[in-house]
Amino acid sequence: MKTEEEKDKLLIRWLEGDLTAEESSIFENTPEFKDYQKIVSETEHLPYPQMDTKIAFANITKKISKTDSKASTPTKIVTLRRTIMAIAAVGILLVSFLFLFSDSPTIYTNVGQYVSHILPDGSKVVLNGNSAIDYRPDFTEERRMHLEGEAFFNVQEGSTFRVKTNLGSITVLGTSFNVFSRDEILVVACKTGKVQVESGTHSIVLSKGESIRIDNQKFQGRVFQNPNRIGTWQSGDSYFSSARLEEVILSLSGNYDVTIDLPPTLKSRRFTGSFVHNDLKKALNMVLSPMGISYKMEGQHKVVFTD
Amino acid sequence: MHKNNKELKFKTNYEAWAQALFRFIYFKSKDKQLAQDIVQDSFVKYWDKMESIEEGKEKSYLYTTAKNLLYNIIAHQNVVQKHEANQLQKTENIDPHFKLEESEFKLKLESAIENLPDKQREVFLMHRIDGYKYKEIAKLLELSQKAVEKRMALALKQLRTTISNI
Repeated sequence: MKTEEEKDKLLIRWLEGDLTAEESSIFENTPEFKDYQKIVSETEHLPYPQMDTKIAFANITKKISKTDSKASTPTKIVTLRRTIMAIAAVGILLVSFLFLFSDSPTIYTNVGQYVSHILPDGSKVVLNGNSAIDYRPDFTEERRMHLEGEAFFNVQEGSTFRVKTNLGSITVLGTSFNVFSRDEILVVACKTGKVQVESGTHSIVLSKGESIRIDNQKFQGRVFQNPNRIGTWQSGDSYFSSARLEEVILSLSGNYDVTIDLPPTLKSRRFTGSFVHNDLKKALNMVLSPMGISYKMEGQHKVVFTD
Repeated sequence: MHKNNKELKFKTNYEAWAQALFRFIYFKSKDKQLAQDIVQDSFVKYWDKMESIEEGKEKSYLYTTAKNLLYNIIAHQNVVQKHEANQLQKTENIDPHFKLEESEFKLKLESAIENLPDKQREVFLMHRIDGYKYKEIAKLLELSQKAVEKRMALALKQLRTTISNI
């Protein structure tokens, strides 16, 4: 039996996502664990007040330009937007330049497409809409690639196979798993075998049916779901098990050419269910109606919330 | 510093920290409007001082400034009454979706968090909501990391006891 002090230490490090696999299993077997897990996961979904950062920023600019005009330079913030746009434009040029002239094979999909691709080692990757992978010509020597968006992998056994995303990396030997990496959200779900996920300084090993969500490099609790449900989007049906609505909407905009500006208060609500990929109206109805969220289409490509 | 660089840096830092700073002050004051005013004033001060703040010290500058602004205000008025008024208002303003969704557990948890000692609540929420590491919290609150960890463990144990006792 662990002493109180040792338990405290485990608790403290568990909260920071710092336990080794062995320590995790010790900690997960303490009688307190389930309570702590529930407290932590529910805490994140309490309705804390938010500041409207846009309005606050406008107020700040007003105050700043007042004090600055007293000093000397009058038009300060007006140019801000233009500067950012210029920088963004240069960034886009640079990225597309790198894209066009590097010799890495790049596979990508447009919104609403899927592409199935066999990698040089025989592993299979299926890309969901608006996603891309690229890997080096020497892939068979070192199995690694970069992913943006969402993809399902079925990996041939062999040397280490690594998928990097902007938010973390996933390492496996031979297994199948799904990676969703859009905006600040990374979700990795393991369908068979074992998968190692790393983000920032943390690392976690997932077994069959387990998935982990990483939000801004912060590990959320491990979730178990039916492995048969993992990667179902390949057959035209995206399935979710108490996923944050934010994630569902991001996923939806990978399958449809649509802009959905989800109000911040709705982002953390939970959705369990699925949506189809071949009918936008139906898909929206499948997600939003059961949650009692009222919305309407503005033109063909925009959803607005009417509450 | 070149003007455009300064603006870009300002905007980037604002976007990175404004919401967290808001919650930081809100957790202390429980007053939404006050917290928003303090965030605005802190960033205005930050703008004026930007050239003289060392690289990497910006965040603690903002937190210290916000904290001082709050303490000045608390020193000048009796905020206790205001808190009570705000607390009432807060329950009335909860988004109807949340009202429906709020399970019994969530309600229990919310009141258990409200009832934590200030020092524990502050650390607990900074860690769980804003995603700060113990080390960062220690720096921002000018405490030792050990002290932060201790408050965190106490907070979790306290929450567990309160919830199972209700």
